[in-house]
Amino acid sequence: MRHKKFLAFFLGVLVAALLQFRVETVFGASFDLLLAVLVAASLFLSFWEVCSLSLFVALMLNWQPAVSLEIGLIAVLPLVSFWIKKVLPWHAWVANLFLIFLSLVVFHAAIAPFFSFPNFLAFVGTSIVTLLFGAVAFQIFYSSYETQK
Amino acid sequence: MRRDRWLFVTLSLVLLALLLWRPETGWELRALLGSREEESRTADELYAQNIQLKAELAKLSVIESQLPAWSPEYIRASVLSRYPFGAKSELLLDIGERQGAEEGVAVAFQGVLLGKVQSVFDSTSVAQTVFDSRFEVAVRIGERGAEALFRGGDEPHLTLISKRAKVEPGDVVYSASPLFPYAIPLGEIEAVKLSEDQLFQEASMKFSYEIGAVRTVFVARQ
Repeated sequence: MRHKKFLAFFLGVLVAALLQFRVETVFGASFDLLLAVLVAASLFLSFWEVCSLSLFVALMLNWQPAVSLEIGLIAVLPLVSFWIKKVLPWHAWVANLFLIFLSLVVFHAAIAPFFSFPNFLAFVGTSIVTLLFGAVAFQIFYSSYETQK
Repeated sequence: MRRDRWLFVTLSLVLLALLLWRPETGWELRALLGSREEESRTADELYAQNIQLKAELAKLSVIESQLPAWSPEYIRASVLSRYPFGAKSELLLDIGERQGAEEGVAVAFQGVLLGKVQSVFDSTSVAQTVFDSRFEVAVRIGERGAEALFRGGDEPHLTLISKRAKVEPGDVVYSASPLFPYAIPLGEIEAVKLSEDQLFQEASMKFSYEIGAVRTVFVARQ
């Protein structure tokens, strides 16, 4: 049963990966859909399940032989979300949106603050798309599984 | 429950080991998921040739006598992977120190400057492309050779063009940096306008290729 749940989230990650890569190829726009789906998954899965999914995504996104800050953040931010959700008093779907937005801000502030924030409109645009995707992913997961504290 | 935990701990350790020691597993996986359409690129190739010829013409008509007698050799390289986020534009190439790649040298695609080698590993290297917001290079424009600064990014553009310089859409833009082969073309001018402070002209650029479709490049040897 537990494995079926993990497989469902793994499938969610693969769908997000397909969308992220295809959208980038066709439209040239880059959205952080994988980060959104990982943060949403951190509300449902155990620590080690989130860890496995995050490392799988990090492996898939890594583009060079050396591990970079970007890849480190992709692996760590869902785990941080896993711990932060425990202290958030809100309903899970609000916590989901808050954690995705927080992850996006931390991610972009760490990797390219002089690129992301001066291009404020572009950052807002990609954040909105990512948040919408995260909300949809959360609702799909929520329709089948309970969130965990 | 405990057995489940050990399963995911093991899975995490295996994935971490792959990430650290066999990152190419991830590149293959990503190539599988993000495989691009192989479309006919004849029009793009013709456009690139056109830009190269324009650069050659500009070189011959104005600056031939000043050209350095240096013609670099190139090493062919395949693109293994690309930077997966929006903030930068980098490509991982399948040549490294062993094949003679060096930091800072030019990377070209269909004879057009695509970027420069940013870091070199044993058998791979990372190239920063002209679409990276940190990429800057001194350039000249058209047959008159007007000077400008090329700034990379999502929408690469030219700045610091003298107000007196006659620059028009369609003029070829070519490298004038000592770091790269002289007069290697970058693209064409798309539109020209005055800068916000009204002191210089600025121009947007048009390119002969889609960065997402680039598979093979040439890396200059020093």
